[in-house]
Parts: sequence; C-alpha cells; structure tokens
Amino acid sequence: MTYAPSDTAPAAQGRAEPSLAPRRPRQRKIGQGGWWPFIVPAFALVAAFFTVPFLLNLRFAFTDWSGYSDVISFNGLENFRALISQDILWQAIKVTLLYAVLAMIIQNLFSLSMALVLQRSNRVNGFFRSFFFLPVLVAPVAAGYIWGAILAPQGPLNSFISLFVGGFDYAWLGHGTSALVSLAFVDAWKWSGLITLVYIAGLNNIPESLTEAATVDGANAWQRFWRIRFRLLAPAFTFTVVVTMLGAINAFDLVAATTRGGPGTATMVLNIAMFNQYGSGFFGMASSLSLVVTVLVIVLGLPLIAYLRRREVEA
Amino acid sequence: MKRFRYAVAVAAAAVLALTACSANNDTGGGDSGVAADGTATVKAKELTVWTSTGDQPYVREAYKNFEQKFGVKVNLVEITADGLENQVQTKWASGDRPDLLEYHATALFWALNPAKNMIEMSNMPYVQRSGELYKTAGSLDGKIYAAITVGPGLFGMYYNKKVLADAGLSAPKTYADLENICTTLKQKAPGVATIYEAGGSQWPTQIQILMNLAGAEKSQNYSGELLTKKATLDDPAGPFVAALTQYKKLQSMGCFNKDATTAKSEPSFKALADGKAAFLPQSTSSLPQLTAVYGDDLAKASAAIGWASPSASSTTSAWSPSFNGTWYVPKTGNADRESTALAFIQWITTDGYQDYLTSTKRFPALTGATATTPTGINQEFWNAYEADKALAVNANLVGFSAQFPTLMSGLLSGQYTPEQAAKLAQEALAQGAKSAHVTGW
Repeated sequence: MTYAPSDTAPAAQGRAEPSLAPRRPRQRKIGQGGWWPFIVPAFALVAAFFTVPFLLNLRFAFTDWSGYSDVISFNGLENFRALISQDILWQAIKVTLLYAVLAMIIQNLFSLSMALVLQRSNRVNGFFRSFFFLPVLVAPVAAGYIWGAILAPQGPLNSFISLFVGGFDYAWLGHGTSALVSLAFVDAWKWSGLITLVYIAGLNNIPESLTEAATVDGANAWQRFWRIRFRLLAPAFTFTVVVTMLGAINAFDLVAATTRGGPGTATMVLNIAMFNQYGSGFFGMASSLSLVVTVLVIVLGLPLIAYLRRREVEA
Repeated sequence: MKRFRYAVAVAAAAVLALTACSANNDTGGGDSGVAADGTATVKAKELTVWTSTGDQPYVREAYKNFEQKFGVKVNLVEITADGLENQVQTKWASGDRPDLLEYHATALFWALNPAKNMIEMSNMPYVQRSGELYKTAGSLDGKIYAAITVGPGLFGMYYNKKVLADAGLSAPKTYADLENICTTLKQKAPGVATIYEAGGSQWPTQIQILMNLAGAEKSQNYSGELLTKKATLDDPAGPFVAALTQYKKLQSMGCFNKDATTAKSEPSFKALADGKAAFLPQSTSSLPQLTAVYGDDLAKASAAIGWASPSASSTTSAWSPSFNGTWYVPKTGNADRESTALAFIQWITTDGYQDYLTSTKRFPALTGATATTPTGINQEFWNAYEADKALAVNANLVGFSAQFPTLMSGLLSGQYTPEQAAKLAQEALAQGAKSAHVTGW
C-alpha cells in the first residue's frame, strides 16, 4: 500500500483544486497505518486463546502446584528434575519427535503419490478424492479405537496376512517400535486425504506449458516431476510439511484411544505424558511438559518454516 | 492513533482480567457451615452425583430409592470407568463439583485436596459403626472424608475349575504353586493360557503384584515401611523387586496369553469361561461382569469358576476399600445441597442400610445390619477374607499408583527390567509423597 497519488498528483499538475480528489484521503489513511483494524480480531483471538494462557501457564511450570494442596510454591527446576528421574521427559521428547518425523514423512509421501494419481479432474478421480477424504471426517478417538481393533493380534490385518503366512498373530501395538510406526501410519491414514487436496491444488497451479516445453526438450517423466513439478510445489510443500509435523507434535487423541502411550512408555508422546501428570493431580509437572511442547514447536517450527520459505524463493 | 491506543488499552484490560481469573486458585465452593453430625436434612430438590459407567446396579438402585423416599431428583453424571481418575481430577481442577462424589477411598482421593474441598465427616454416626476401617481408608491426617458402605473388594484370581480338574490340579496357595501349575498346564493343555493378562487395559497388570505382596504387607507392614523410608521399592533384595521378577519369570515361562501386552480386560471373562485361560487376575468387585457371561446366573458361574488368593509365600488376600458405595460430600457453597447430600449419607447408613446391604449381596462395612448369607463364589470371597488378609500395598502409596500401570506395561513389553521398573516406581512415590507433604519426604 505505498500508492498515494492524492499527495502528489494535484501539486505535480500545478493545480490547487482539492475537490478533484474527493476519495483519495481514505486510501492514504489505509496506506499509512489504517490496516490495524483488520488484524485486531486475529490478534485478539491469538492473544486470548494462546498467548495469554501460555504466559499465565509459564510460571506454573516452575511451581509445585498439585491437587494435594492449595499452596503453590516456586520450586525452580525441580519439576524437570523429577520428570527426568522418572524417565518421562527425555522419553516423551524422543517419542514425540520420532512420531512427528515418521508421521510427516509417511503422510507426505502417500499424499503426494495420491495427488499425482488423482490430479486430473474427472468423475473417477472425484470419487477417489472424496473416498480418501472420508477418514479426515472421522473423529480421531473413533479412528484410534477402529485401528486398535484392526491391529489386534487376532484382528483383520493379521487374518489377512495369515492367508499368506499361516498363524500370523503379531501384536502390532504390543511392541515399542511397531506400535510407534503403526500409530504414524494411522495418523497418515487419518489426514492424508486433506494433504492430498493441498498437493492437487499445488500441482494444478503449475503451468502446463512448462512441462510441455520440458517434454519437447526430451525430459522423461521422472525428470519432469523432479526438476519441474516437485520444485514448483514448494509453497504447497511448506504448508504440508509444517502442518503434518507440528500437528503430530501435538498428537494426543489418536494415541490415547489406541495405545494410551503404551506399551510402557513406547508411544508416550508429550501430550499423553502431560495428561497423565495432570490427571494424577500434578499440575505443576503437567505445566512443565506443556512448556516443553510449546518450546519444541517454536524451536522446530520457526527454522523449518524459514528454511522452506527460502526454498520456495529458490524454486 | 487514538483508536489504536484505545484498542491496546482494551486488550491490556482483557489480559489483566484473564490474569486475575487464572491467578485465583480458589476453585472450591467454600464452607457453608452445614453440620456433618447426622442432623442434616433434605432441603434441595435435586442432587448431582458423579459416578462411574462401571458402577454396580445396587448403587443405582440406592439412588432411585432415595429419589422415591425423599422426592429428590438425582442427576447422574456418568464418567467412563476407563481413565475415571484422570477425568475426575481434570473436572475437579477446573472447579467443577458434584453434590456427591462416588470415588476411591485410597490415597487417590488425597489429590482432590479434601481438607479444602470436602466436608469432613468424622462426626457422622456411621463412623462409630465402622470399626478401624478409617485408619487405613477414606481419611487423611486423621480426618474422615469418605462414607464407605460396603465391604472391601479383594484382589485374587478367578480360575476355571474344569481346566484345572482335567489336568489333575488344584487351586494354588502360593506363587510357587502357580509356577508349578503353569508348567503342568503347558504340558497337558497347551492351548490354554495359564494366566490371562490384559496389558492393553494396563490397570489389571497391577493385580498380580498386589496379590504377590499381600504376604509382605501382612508380615512387615510393607507399605508403612515404604512411607516412612524404612524400605524402598527399588531395594534389589526387597519384596517389590522380587514380585516383579516373579511376574517376569511367569511371562518368560509362557504362562500368559500370547497377546498379553495388548489384550483388553473386557473379553477376559469370556476367555476364562470358555477355558481359553485358566486364571484371571481380578477384583471381587468384577463378579457381575463374570456372572454376565453365565446369563447373570450366580449358581452357574460358581459351579464353573473358583477363587484363589496366592501370595508370594502364603495365602493372604489383598483387600482394597470398595469404590462402589463410597461417597464424598464436596463443598459446593450451596448449603441446601450440601445438607441434602449429607442427608443421603445419613439415610444410606441408617434407615436405608439394611435394604441396601441386602441388594449388594456383599459383606457389610457397618455394624447393625445383617448381610445376606453368601452363596457360591461369594462364599469363597468371604472365606478368603476371613482366613488371611492385608491391605493392598498400593492403597496409601501416594503418587505410586499413578505410574504403576504404566511401569507394569513397560515390564510386560520388555521396555523395563524389574530393577528399572522398581527404580522408577520409587521415584514416583517420592514425587507423590513430596506433593502430599508426607512427613519425612
């Protein structure tokens, strides 16, 4: 909004009739700072529902606040010490990061593949786009229970595998590694329909003339995808990577309904650990974990977004 | 700029208002001064009760009878049994209060800060008819907050009589017996899991350890030693590590169901009845779920299923105060409702007690009423309780109970060794004891 012709146009033309520019002052006002009313609602909502609660909660992370007493005392880093000594803090951070990275990779690989297959708008693709979008509409808790049953040792998945490998009864959610990977797959199943649509929109924004020109120049299908389409998908890629990864860092309901963080603490993401502490009356400890989640999102999110935005410019 | 400054001022005011709200930690209803001495009367038209979805039918019947007798509408707020403690704690922390709370009488209720949030009922008449119950349950710092109306539940094992008889075996008296039974069953009935473990539900994994430790609790007041720091859970030569080690040994011997790490509790009763498992660690409170498999026919269930209470080296039953029929009266600040809630407690423990006790088919927590003569498996519960018993070790180990199921799940899945799990359990106890300001921590 740097255009302010009313300031200069009459003078430049050597005329002094202010009435010739009756509506210009309004534009000038916006250009000089009249934008702020538009940002106030968003600012107020973020402030009221994120910033202020976060700032208020911050101090509790360093207190012994619990359901056992109404006296809240500052206890420094004692909560973090207790969380470390109980093998909760590092384990929850490790699990959360692993889960987030796995979920992000699986979701994006699957969604991008689906987008490439379903890019063209026709009836068949329209049906499959809707079909794969359906899990997005399923409540995460319901999805958790459904997949808990599917992945049970005597569940449908193992029954299917048993058709090829007799008596297959592996407990997918009963072993640490497979439980975490299974959850990441379930998360991908749940959200891929949405991410696929973002990729389809991104693919459709790429001018066909570019790929046609590459074809004329002798580029094969892989080269056309990797050298042209993938690079021009950068804005969509920024959105999907950030959303899937940061979304997974905040995972709770799907994990709660499927494994509750188990077996042991193998799938205990930070939010599950927080809920366990809060639900046991240790509010200060829960606040400490809440702070860790926020810090993790900021520490990972900002550099990731900065890197991906730079990549967009380069692309 | 004026408008901008105005907007900033409004935002700042909003922040201050929010700060003021959140800084106020006084979420309770305050003291309305209602006397809790048996003189309270019905004054409100309705009562809100927080209860569990897994509540027993006799408790629901008690509410209906109270409604009919006093014209008070009882509004039940059902909280899912799965994760009930977390949900109650969460609602409670937000300042939400029922007029009556049905809840545990163990250290779990200490996390609700009873001194501030609940009406003390030490002077209610039922206390005089409860023997020494409140020395170990429903109280904190010598003050009684709970009204425990039915006898305790026992932790032990249901067993399938036919499975054992077919293999020429009898019920175990100790955990050593259980190991021998497992060895025999694996030879004679390889398709049968000796013990059904429900690691997917987590909480049932505690039961075997509580059973195992009942002897230590009886002989050396183990939980008392732990709370006074005379013993530690992670002592390599202590009872807790020994119990975890024995549990792990049974698992490595192949004595648990194949899906022990993920199996849920709900199908376990049918698995036992169908002979797919020989033993099912459970609480006696779960009897209705067992009889449901037999069409609610207690005689039929009793003919097929027996009850065993093996401990490490004795036949000592671990008992725990009943959740069902244990009530608290939170301070709501509404004198009429508090009075009515206390009147309910007064009625259920006096005039309404005999009918109520009869409907429970359990042994009484209060004197002055005659229990129904136990039959079938109820008689076995009674015999086990009378023969030898000790309070479940975890009952007053504040903080420990919150982590215990997770640690057991980790032990079961191989994430932790018994020693590692015990070390983490000791840390959890230390955290809880500090939070609850237990002397010496």
